[in-house]
Amino acid sequence: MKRKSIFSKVGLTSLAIVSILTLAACGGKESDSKASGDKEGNETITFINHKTDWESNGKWDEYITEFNKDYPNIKVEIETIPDYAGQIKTRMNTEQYGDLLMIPGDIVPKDFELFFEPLGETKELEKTYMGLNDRSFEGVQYGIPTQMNATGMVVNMQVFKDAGINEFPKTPEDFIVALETIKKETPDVTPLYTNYAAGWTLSNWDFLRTGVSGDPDVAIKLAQDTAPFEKGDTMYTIYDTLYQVANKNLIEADPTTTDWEQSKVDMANGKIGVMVLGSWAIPQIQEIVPENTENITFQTFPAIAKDGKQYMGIAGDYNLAINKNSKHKESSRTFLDWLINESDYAIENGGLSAVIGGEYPTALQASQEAGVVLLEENQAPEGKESLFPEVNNMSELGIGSTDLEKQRIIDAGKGNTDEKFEDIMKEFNIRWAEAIETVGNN
Amino acid sequence: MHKIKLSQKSEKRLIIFLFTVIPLSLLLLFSYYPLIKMFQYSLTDWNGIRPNANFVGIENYQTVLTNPKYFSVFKTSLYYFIATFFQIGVALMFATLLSFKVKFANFWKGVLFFPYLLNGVAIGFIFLYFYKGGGTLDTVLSFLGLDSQIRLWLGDRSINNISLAATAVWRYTGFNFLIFLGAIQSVNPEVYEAADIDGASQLDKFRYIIIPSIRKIIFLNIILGISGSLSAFDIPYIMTGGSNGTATFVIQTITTAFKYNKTGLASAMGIILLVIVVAVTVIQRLAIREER
Repeated sequence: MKRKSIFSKVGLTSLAIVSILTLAACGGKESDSKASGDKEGNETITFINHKTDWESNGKWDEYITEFNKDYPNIKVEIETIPDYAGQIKTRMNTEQYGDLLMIPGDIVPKDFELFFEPLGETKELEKTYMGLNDRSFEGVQYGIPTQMNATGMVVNMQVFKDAGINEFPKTPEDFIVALETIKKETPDVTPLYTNYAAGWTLSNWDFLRTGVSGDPDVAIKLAQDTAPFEKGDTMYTIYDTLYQVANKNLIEADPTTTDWEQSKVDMANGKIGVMVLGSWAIPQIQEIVPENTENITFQTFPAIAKDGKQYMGIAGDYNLAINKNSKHKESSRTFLDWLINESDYAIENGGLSAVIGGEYPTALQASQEAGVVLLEENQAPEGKESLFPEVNNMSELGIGSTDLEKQRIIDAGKGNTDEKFEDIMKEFNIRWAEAIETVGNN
Repeated sequence: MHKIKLSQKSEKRLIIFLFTVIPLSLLLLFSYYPLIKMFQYSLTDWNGIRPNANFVGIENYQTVLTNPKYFSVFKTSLYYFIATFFQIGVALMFATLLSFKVKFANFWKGVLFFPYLLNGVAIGFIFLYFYKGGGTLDTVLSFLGLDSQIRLWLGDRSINNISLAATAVWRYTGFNFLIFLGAIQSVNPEVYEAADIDGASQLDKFRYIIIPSIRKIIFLNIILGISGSLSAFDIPYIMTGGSNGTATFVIQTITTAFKYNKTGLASAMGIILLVIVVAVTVIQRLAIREER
């Protein structure tokens, strides 16, 4: 067995080298959140966020220069993390997660107070800001969204017009028929691109729930309904549409190898008809082929709510929050307020400012003129703020948080598995009901 | 300058100590300490972020062992396990060929070992483009006039695990090859000479000299293959993210921990995998000891 021991030694040495490198890397970061206010009252705050593109194209530097014109005493250090959602949670096990940061999406509201500084009473802040519903606990606000996004469909209208469809459909049935027509008339075009492999894109289907139901209490009702996947229910309608498009081969031929960056290029060039996304994606797609900007529109999911109107859900993007352990809370608050109230962050990222009364982005104005009502979800009633995320995690259905079950529906639709759609929905009902019971008992 | 004088014995001890203390402390810090912590987490319902967690005893272990959803993914490991035998076969063949006189032997050795040096992530991406619709494999097939054989190599559930396992074979063959080559070269050359005099063919030499001399090594490779296939992770994770029936036990564990925030449950899954791998290794040790 000599050989084996040689290999294990090699392994150990390389481990040692790697660990030393890691240690060295950690050491470099240590100074980040240490108090560094000097005699003249200058302070340095660290702002951790996910906008890696803004760090490389110099946008953040421009913003900080702009900020320092008004507040020369606050120096802002930007730290961007490519896999933000994954890594920040690990860092939050320590006290060093910057002074200002984005709240990762899956922290349950009852844990907010453990990590973040309260920003004020939700009732007070509501007079000024939108999108406060999901980052508040027991009436206290912990985060303010950097921007508001609508969830719906990015549509290349030229693709629809080429197939002889001049108006975007209004019901799921008409939508499927329209996609089938596109498939028949222009066989080279992928009517709907799912971005199956990206790992986050399919979650957008879940966020369609607000628009489809037209009910601002949809999430909290979902968390109390032991059978929310019955035919006719909001989630059923959404998943059924997803199943149908896969089943009728209206999606990409090989979902397993989809490519997000390429999909934006294809959409801009009219090779894709529809993608289910947030409104933030519009500028990213439009800038690829500037001549085709007008073709790229944003539509709500083709469904009519019970009251006969069409709705489109809007919700907060990442929320800015202040580290509870920060030594520069006031300076951090100053930068937070500046970024939300005064900078162009929201508009430049294709969203709507969280400050009430802001202008709607062009992409959304079109739908608004067509009579689509923008709808924000209500805050869960006090004491039930954590209910939906807890039931969701417990059931492992990953509504709005993972893609696995949506992938499963597509696999079934494609005929890759023998599962029937009805059976999947039955299983979802059972898992959801069990999760409600387990969470209720804790 | 006054030098501290040490006796040769204590000098030797000091050197041994200094050389051991760094790797040992790293081992303790990065292997055993996390292991103990993981065991501790596995007895709680910790969600990976919250500073406190409730003690739940062995409930997590019960969930993993009784809910078929968690255990059924070991089916995927079967593909990798079966692939191990192809891998060993190919590696053994090349090791045997290259242990005889071959032109450019070192070059061929390099070619065979090269994939093992590549990073798993890089390999994942290479093969993602290889298997992709209209990718390298499809192009080669249509060049050969085999268009009818083109399939969705990663999209078609009846074949995608085979595609992934084939990637693993490509990657690890070099490693098995190197072990075999070393073992074959340690056979005393006089035995071959004697065989030549007796008029043995190359095939006879392989069957009656090489195979019996490296039997233990073959067995070791199979055992390594078993534990490797149980913990298969990087290739399927990069290429399909575990979607479409390609999830392995480790991918399942990662998902449980970081997507559903059930770190306690995922730690229990990690411990269970560890126990299985340790059991396999112990069996290997026992089997080899018996032969001695």
